[in-house]
Amino acid sequence: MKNIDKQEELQKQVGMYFDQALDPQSKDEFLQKVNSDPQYQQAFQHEQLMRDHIKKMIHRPGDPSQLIQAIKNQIGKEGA
Amino acid sequence: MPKKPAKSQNDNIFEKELLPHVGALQTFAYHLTYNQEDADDLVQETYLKAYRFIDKYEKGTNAKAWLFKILKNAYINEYRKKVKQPTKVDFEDIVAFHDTDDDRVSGYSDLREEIFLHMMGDEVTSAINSLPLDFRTVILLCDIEGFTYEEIAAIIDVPIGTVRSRLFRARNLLKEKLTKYAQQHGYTDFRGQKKLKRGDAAKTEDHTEEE
Repeated sequence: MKNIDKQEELQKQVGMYFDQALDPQSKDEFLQKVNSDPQYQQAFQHEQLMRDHIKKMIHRPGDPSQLIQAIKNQIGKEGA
Repeated sequence: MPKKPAKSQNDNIFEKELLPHVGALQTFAYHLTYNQEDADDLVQETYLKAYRFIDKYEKGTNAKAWLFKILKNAYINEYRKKVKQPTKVDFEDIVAFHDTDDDRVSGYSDLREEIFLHMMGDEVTSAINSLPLDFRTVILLCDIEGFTYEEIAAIIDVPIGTVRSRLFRARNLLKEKLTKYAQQHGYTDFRGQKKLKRGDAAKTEDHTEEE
């Protein structure tokens, strides 16, 4: 039971850290735990890997310069 | 030669603070509309609105969040009406009804790295695009764009507790979908057995990866 609680707390803190939802003090405490506790370190690295992979792999439209020009042209027309 | 008219302060704000976010808005719009042309129209409409209402924007504040809010509203109020997606609306109403101020915070931590890292962009994009709109939106805003809970709450007009609970559910659903994709592509998660096999080939070839 204690292990489940610890695991849940760990998940919660890792998630909040990456969501930028920890206050500065909790963030410092969390990072200290990451540096000293292998379980925290593993969970931290795992979560970071997942999020980086999603960010890297998600489809992003290419160079927006054409769209920027189209927006400027449209605004130019409206303003004229 | 006639002199070029001097740029107004609003034009400068528009160019320096708002236009740099076109790329991020394009990505968000693409994952809402599922196609590039509609996404570009939506982004263009967003910028036209922003330009018309630029007096309401305070210089130096959160331009990106402001633009995302305009885009989200334009999508809901105009784009979805135009393309009519009744079944999605019904489902999302149900999802919204079940939103609670659930404080649990989730992560992707119990999805195995080995499975996940074999996935390419198409699979990740498909999994995200198959999420219901409300869930897709929070994942895109939080995990892709890095907005805080407070910013997301302001963009989508819901309490922070709802943002948290939607993220929790969205990540769980995404995790399920990614796991399904992995299984469809022959990656089996043998939890507890500490082994990962790649399809049937693993039975005859040495493709088994030790943890």
